[in-house]
Amino acid sequence: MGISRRVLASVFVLVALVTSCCAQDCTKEAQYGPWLNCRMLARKNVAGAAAQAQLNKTNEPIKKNATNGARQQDSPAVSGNSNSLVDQSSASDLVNLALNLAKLTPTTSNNNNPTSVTVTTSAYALYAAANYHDPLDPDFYSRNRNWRRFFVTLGQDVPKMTASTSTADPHANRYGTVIGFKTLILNSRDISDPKNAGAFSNVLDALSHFSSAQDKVSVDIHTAIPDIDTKFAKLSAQESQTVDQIIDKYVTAFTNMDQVATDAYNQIKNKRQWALSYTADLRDGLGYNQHSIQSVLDWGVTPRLNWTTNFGAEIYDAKKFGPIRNGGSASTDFQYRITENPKQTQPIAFSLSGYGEWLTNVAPTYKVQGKLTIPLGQKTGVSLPISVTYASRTDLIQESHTEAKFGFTFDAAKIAAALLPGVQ
Amino acid sequence: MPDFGNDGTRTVTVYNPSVNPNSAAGEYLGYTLTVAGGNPAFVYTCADRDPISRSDQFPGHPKATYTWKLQKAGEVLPLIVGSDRNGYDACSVGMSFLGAVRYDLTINLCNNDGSVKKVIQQISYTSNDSRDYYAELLGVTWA
Repeated sequence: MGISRRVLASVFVLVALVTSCCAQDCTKEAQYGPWLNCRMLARKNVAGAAAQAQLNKTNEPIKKNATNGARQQDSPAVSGNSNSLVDQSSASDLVNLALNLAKLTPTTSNNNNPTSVTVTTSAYALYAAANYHDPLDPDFYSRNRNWRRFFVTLGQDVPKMTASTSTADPHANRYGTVIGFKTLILNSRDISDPKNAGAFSNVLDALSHFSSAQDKVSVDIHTAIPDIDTKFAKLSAQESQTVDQIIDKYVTAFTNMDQVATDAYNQIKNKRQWALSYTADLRDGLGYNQHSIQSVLDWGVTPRLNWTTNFGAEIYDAKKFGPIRNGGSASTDFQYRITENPKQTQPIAFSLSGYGEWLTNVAPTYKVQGKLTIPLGQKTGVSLPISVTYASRTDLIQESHTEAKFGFTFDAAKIAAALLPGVQ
Repeated sequence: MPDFGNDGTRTVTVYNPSVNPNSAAGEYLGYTLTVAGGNPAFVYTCADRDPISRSDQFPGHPKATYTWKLQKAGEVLPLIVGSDRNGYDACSVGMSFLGAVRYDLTINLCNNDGSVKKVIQQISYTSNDSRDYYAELLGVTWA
């Protein structure tokens, strides 16, 4: 039995090594620099697979994926049609569009109209626009860090039901104007925060070793194979082996760089953020004006789990058609990155939220929501949130209610890099 | 499939793996690195010495454009760096995307009077994954 296990373990290690080695097809590289980079990566993977196999023997868990952070992409939670029960502490540095397309319930299946549309932008983006300045200019970005503490949201809630289909809830028949402001009191995740300088310094140190190791590898290979610049695609087996042996001398620098880069990323992303927000959903004379003042705390508990909690005051101004309802609310949200592969920059994520609201003149409301966020591609900045919510009661109807929704979010910051002009 | 890292894209306009500057005639390499993002993190290294310079050593860091020169002699860090190696040398610009989303690198072979004799490399790098990094290599043989 023991021998069989050992044989199996050996086969596993061998397969892992071979797979890692051959998965890196460097013959497709047409330029010397990328080819050398590819060969170095291949040798790093071989070394990494061996180290992984060693770790697997001790059952030590390897979890190096990144947290999703705390950038809100959905409409504010106060919007009746938001896919989120919980607001997060910050939004995109540039512009974020959230479109909650429709409920997946049969009652609205014949209605393709959006049920809410909101646009969120930072004061920083507006300030950059006012100055006709590129918001991604590092100097401008760094100098105006405090402008990224303020966010504004504008949008509209479209009635959940047409007037002809509901007479029970006049509020639900009215269009709502969504206005929101958010201030980041604690902004520890900002990359230009001097407190994050240590993480950058670590990356620069490791990058220096990595870059220097690449230089030394190149010089050593050039010494062994002087015309490597031109014949790298047609190396003999002996020459290829020589290249691998040279790379292996410096492989530690490559593996260290990966670890340092991941650690620096997690160190910043897992810091806490705290914001105060005000959101209003304003309707005409037959609908409530809803005002919400919230404290929003974000905490990256682990690289794959982010925790957000909100609490604050709620005011439902009924104007002349009913009593004003005042009170408070509290909510919490756990966002878990399902996608284990760290290569996925727009991961599939699942969040579980709970929400409670206690108001005068009305019974408490409790909601529980599960939400799956599915990215459309990896460089689009677009994702589809799909949520299922159970509510102990809806706004004016004293009965429990379950509904499913899906939406659409777009983060301009994620594609800004691709739209920037090239070198002149 | 990314060109590098988890999400990296490398777009080449001009690429030469190596260059032979005539140091006797005063030729040198002029580097320009343009950055988009909040906090650039890059290094410049050559085989025999590390690091020659890093982003946080440049006056005015962080900024949008960084320039420096590589010449045979006459070191004044970080704007002008020298290489005292005879024969083949290798130098790299290592870039981290921890605080940046795009780098545009241009390396020119320049005459003594500063005019551009030849564009050696002109390459753009983008990534939305903060863990990504890349080091662009250039072989240098001083004549």
